[in-house]
Amino acid sequence: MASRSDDNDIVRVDFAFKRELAQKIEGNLANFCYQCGACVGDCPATRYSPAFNPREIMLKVLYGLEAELLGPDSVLWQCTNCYGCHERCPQEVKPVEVIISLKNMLADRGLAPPAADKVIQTFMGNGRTVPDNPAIDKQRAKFGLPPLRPVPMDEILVLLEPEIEEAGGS
Amino acid sequence: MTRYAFFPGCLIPARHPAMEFAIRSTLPKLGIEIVDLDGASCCPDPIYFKSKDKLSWLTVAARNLTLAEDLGLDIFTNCSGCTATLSETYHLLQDEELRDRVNHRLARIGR
Repeated sequence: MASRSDDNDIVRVDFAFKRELAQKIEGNLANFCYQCGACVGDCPATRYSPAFNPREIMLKVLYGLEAELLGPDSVLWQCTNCYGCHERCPQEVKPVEVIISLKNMLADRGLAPPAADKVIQTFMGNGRTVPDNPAIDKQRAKFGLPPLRPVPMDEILVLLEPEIEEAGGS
Repeated sequence: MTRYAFFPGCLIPARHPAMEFAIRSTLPKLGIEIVDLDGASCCPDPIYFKSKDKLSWLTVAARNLTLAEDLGLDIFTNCSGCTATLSETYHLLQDEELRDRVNHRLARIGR
């Protein structure tokens, strides 16, 4: 695991972490970051929480500081998903997407917050992010709208199955 | 009359049916025929679902796009979150390698 060594301030790049991140969709974009800080200036999360700083997060990704990024109660969940950094980045790093890839890694490690799990659980139940409730169709009927259409959950659940690693792995 | 596939999403049909009502009453008057999609699911949600597993998120979104593709129609939605998910999925799937990964999963259900 990567760490900043306490005694001599040498940063050791953790390539295993960087390889895992690169496997995630758009996870390897941070490689193009030249640390200009354009992502920070208009970041609403940074304004209210100095602990959340997209430039520093990209720097930690470049160094491969897994321990500082992927712990319990990670600061990454403070991202508001506003996409301001995506629009401003001159290098098309898409910091928000790198952060989402890091969140995927947190989820792989069982460190997603309960709110995220709740949304997924509701979706796994009925294919929507809103729980079933008889009041919904009653309310719809008031507007002359038909009941909600059923979602073929058999199809959906098959799609959510992760790939089976082929022998030998890749 | 122009025909479009209507992707209603979750929150609008379930919590804000008045908005769906507004869409259904105005578009036909503007010369647009609304075609409902059979078997559409949550888009899925571009914040939590995507944060949890982006490949699954893309796959479920791609399945929703194929529903409109089956009808040979362009898709529209009146939800901002669904717009984010469906349009981003369309852009991401221009990447051949990623499209292969998603198609591989969609093949499980014959799509």
